[in-house]
Amino acid sequence: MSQNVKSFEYKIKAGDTLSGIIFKMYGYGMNDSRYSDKESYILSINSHITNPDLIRTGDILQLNTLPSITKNPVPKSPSRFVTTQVNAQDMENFWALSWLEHNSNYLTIPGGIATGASGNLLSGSNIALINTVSDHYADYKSGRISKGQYDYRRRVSLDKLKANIGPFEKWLFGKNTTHETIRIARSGGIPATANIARNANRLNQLAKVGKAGGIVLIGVGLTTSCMQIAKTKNTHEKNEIFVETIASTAVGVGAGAVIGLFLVSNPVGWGTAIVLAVGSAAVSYGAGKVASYSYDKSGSQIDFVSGSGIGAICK
Amino acid sequence: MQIINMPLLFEFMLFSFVWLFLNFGLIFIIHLLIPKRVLKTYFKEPYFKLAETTAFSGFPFGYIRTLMFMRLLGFPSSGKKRGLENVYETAPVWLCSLSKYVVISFLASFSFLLLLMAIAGVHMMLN
Repeated sequence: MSQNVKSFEYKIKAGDTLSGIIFKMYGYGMNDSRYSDKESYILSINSHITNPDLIRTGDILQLNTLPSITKNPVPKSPSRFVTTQVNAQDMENFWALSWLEHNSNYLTIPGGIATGASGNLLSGSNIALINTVSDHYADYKSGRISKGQYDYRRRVSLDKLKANIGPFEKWLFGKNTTHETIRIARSGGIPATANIARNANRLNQLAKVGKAGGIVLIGVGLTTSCMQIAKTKNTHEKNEIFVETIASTAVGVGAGAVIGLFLVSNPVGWGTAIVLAVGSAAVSYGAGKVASYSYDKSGSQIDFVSGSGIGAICK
Repeated sequence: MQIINMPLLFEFMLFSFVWLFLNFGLIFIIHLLIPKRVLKTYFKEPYFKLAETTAFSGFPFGYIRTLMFMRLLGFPSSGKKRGLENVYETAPVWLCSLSKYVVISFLASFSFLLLLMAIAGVHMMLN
């Protein structure tokens, strides 16, 4: 019996199951007494697989021949293996890309909502606040208000704007504060209110981009889930992806609704609002994972993908 | 011994999802039914900050505004901090009652779903 222990990597293909791979590579069927030992061993060297019934297409599986099982050696054909030598950096990059492929909807959907929110935040009355500075300046120049009155009104408008945009201030105006940015132009050759008009126009453009970008990102997130369902051959896995997406979306929307109910009786500042938003995103992510796990462990045979017509759309 | 019956737990989860989505549907309808005069009168300063009125307008955050007003209509005392205890006077009685029951139903379905998720989450961590 050979004592050589060789390791190699196997790239999981669409339709693969762990039992199928064990049978294909080692010849152990599920009724074979050596099967469970082999499965346990594979799980022990592949810590990223927490559920033997849930392996993902494209993931890399470390396989290893054990001294005790070299009676049925690894098949000779090398074409099944990706490589035996992978650069550590390449491996890290691969895992990062693999994680992104499976979880990008968790980034793009909340990202889309956040971008849309920033679009909302920048629009309408906030831009009007910037324009009021021009109006106050016009009142001052025409003699309707004094310099002191102009300074006070300008400060009040900009204080409101600063409070409204909160942490977006740095993103919008860089190292300058709102009060430093929205000010009368002192240099000659341009109208005094040119700076103000330019910033109002800039925010208006950003608002439009934010709103459109939000819709695009949400679309990308949903399309990614749809593509994952389309490229998965196994019906059970398709349903797991579907359940995960629907559950995380429903819980995310529900958490947003609860925040709304809470906010009416408890007005909060920016810090609390961000903590609430991050918390609801985390709960939404966890809910997706738990729902997918529950569907898998329940042994449910309900085919949500076909029943809802998603299977016909995402193919 | 299997303490948690996963098939039963998943069935309850499905039930709570359907219940939750029915509530979402009702909230969607109420969003269209909130009288304009309610929003015109109360969805502005000093009751709401300017940041809130801009952030909770349009899609999808307009629904958060609807939830806020549903609570104000169904549970007037919830508007005490904002000085919005009398909003219900500007809306029809049936809308106030509907808002009250939908808010209760939504919170019940969402809490039930989270409870089931927590149980399943514990099962997932233990296994």
